[in-house]
Formats: sequence, structure tokens, C-alpha cells
Amino acid sequence: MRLKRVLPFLLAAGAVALAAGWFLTAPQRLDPAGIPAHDGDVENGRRMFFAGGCASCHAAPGARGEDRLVLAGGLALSSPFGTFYAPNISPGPEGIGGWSDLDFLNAMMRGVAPDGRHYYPAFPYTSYQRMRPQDLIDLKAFLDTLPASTEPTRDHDVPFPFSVRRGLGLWKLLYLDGEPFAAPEGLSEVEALGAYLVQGPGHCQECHTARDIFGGRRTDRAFAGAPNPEGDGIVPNITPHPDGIASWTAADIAYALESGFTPEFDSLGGSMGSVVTNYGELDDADRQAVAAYLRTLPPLPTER
Amino acid sequence: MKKPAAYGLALALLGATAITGTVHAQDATGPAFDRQTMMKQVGGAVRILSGMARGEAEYDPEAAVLGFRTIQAVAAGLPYLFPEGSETGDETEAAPAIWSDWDGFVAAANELETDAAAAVETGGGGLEAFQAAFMEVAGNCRTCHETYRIKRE
Repeated sequence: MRLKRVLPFLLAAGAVALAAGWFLTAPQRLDPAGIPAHDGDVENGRRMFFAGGCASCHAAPGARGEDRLVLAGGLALSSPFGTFYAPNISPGPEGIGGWSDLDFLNAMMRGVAPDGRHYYPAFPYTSYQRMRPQDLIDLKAFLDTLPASTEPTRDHDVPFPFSVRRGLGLWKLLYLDGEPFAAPEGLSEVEALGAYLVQGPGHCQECHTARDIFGGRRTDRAFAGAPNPEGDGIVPNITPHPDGIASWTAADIAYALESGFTPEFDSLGGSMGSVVTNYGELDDADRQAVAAYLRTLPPLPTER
Repeated sequence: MKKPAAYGLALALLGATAITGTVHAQDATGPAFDRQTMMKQVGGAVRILSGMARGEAEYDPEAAVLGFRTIQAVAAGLPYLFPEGSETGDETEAAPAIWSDWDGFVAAANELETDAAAAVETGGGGLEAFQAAFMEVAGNCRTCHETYRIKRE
């Protein structure tokens, strides 16, 4: 008798919760009116391509030299949430052929596909959202000059409940703030350029900052190192703390980014090897800027 | 005539050997320790070569060739430094991929040996030829470490 009376209310409450959930998890696209008119500059796009490390995940695994410009995808990224496979992002039908600049910006800055699906944050749009729209339009112009690949994109291997992409809308409410890049107070022009390259295209924090149980970055652990998200080993602390790289000069950091050699002449490896290959393609001024900014980070001890 | 860079390199290599001797005496033996020592020899050679390539030290053809010879020798020995049974222990940073992809690992070692051998031939022939040879050899370090080395600290 009592159940009969409350049932309609329960159903109504359930419907409201579903509607709210549906609403909260909806893809949030950019306002097209906020995108500046801009003609893509291929040369700066190339710079963004290497600063952003696109080839590290989107070139075929093990690709070297010119083959790194064929963005066929296929790299497996294992994580506590499942295994993600980098998609084909070459400018053909299997990739991003036919995308508008706005489609590309929505993917990079909001993690939303042209068909409205959420991308998983294995694609580091939480960093790329800080990139300037002009730089992204330049990057798109560069990507459009690269060879198309017919390699089909492989489905991610992600178990329930993470397989429900719509749920990523909630994750984005927590971890995708939609804010443009703002240089920290008191930085020189060079350091501010470095901050942009590090926080935006470089997406350094995606590996060098530890994550919480939901896979969001722990802001109190910025750049202080993390367990290797792919399993074995660690990602080093790159703050100027004795646990990190306090003993490295800015010139040491810039040289490590260029050559892979640490001041002790050990060689960087793991996924950083590919980052060095990318950063070797940049002008020295960009590497120097990254180095100058890293020296300004608040020193943090490594968590043990 | 004295060759300061070559002299430094010879000292660095002797130093590495001396360290091997000392620490062996303190009971740190085994494949993981041996390969760390060999890698440090490469690091010592790269320190000298890199200094010359960047113009921090004067280019010295003899030192260049000596450095590349060191790297060539270590590269030739690499496949013998990772015997079965040395996959774990002694805080090794050797990745399991070395053993699961043994052919790929040996191919990477052979590539380093080939590039270093070529650099022995060309690296003494002037600064520009040396710098090109150094870039070619040095690229092997990180591409091999990408797959076959795991950072643990």
C-alpha cells in the first residue's frame, strides 16, 4: 500500500536523475564564435606537431625517420582502466580527412569527436585545451600535408563501466576546466613561452604528475613524478628538488631534450626517448624556453 | 704532443675499470652489475665525445676515434651481458622486453656496433664529419632505451 504511494515519486526522481545525468554527461563543444579567423601556418604547425609529440602515439609503433609522419595509429597504451589504441589521425578517410578546423579544435580542446562522442583522456586534451586556437589551426594545416594511411583504427579494449563513453562527461566536469593558457605570475618572456610549451602542447604533466584514483591529475603533485602508468618502473620527478633535477642547469635540461643525455651521460629512455626525438626537431630557443620554465617550478619531494 | 681529450678519455676508461675492481672486491658481482659498469664506460666515452661535438672541448681526432672504439667494443659485448637468469635482481633496469624480444634487442645492439664502427672510420676526419658520426651513434642510446630499459629511480 505504502509502496504504491511512493512509487510514482521514486519513478519521477529516477527520471529526473537520468535526465540530469544525461544532461551532465553531454559533450560540451566550443562556441564557434569564439574561434578567431586564421589561416593555417604550416611551418608553425610543424613546430606544434613536434612540441606536441603527436608522432609518439599516432605513428605506427617503432616507426623511425620519415615514417613518423605517417599517423596510422596503433600504439597500445595500457592503463588501470584498460588498453587504449591510438587512432589513425592521418588526413584520409580512416583518419581526420574532411574534418573542419572547428572539428579539430573540439577534439583537441574539449575531447569531443565530430560525431559527439567523448574521447578518452588517454588522448591528453586536458593539456591541449591550453593551446592557442591559432596554434591548433596551424597544427591542422601541417597534419593536412602529411601522407594518408588506410590503416583502420582499432577499438579500445576497455571493460565496463569505463566502456560507457557518455560517463566521460562526468570525468570532464572534474578534470577538464576549459580554461585557456595563463602564464604563472612573475615569469620572464622566455619562461612564459616554456610554460606554454610544457603545459599546452608538450603535455609533460600527463606522465610527470601523479594521478588520483579516477585518473585525474593531482595538482598538488605537479611535475613531481609518478609510477609508470603503463606498469613497471617510474616517471621521474622533474621539479628543481634534490629528489628531482635540482642539480641540472637550464642548459643541461635543454641538452637532454635535444640529445637524450643527462648531465651524467646516462641516456633517457622509455616514452621520453620519443619525446627527445620530437624535441630534437625544434629550434634550440624552444628547448631553452622549456628548460627555463622547468627551473621555475615549485620544488617537490618524490612521494615514496 | 699531448692530447688532453684523449688523455682524459683514457683516464675515464681506466677509472671505470678501477671502479669495477673495487666494487667487485666488495661483493657486488653478477651480470646486472657488469652491464651497469659497461654502460658507464659508454657514458664516459659519450661525455668526452659530446663535449667535443658541442664545442666545449677542442676537437681531437684521436680522442674521437678512441671514444667510438670504446662504444663499438661495448656494443659488441652487449648481447653477452644479459644471460638468462639475470632478468631480475640487483636493482636491474633491464626491461623484460630484452628477453621477450631477444632478436630485436640483438639487432639494436648490432646497429649500435655498426654505427660505432663507421664512426671509428669517419670520426677522425674533421669536426663536421665527427659531429655527424656522433649524432648517428648517439641516437642509438635513446632508441634502445625506449624499449629495453626501465627507469626505476
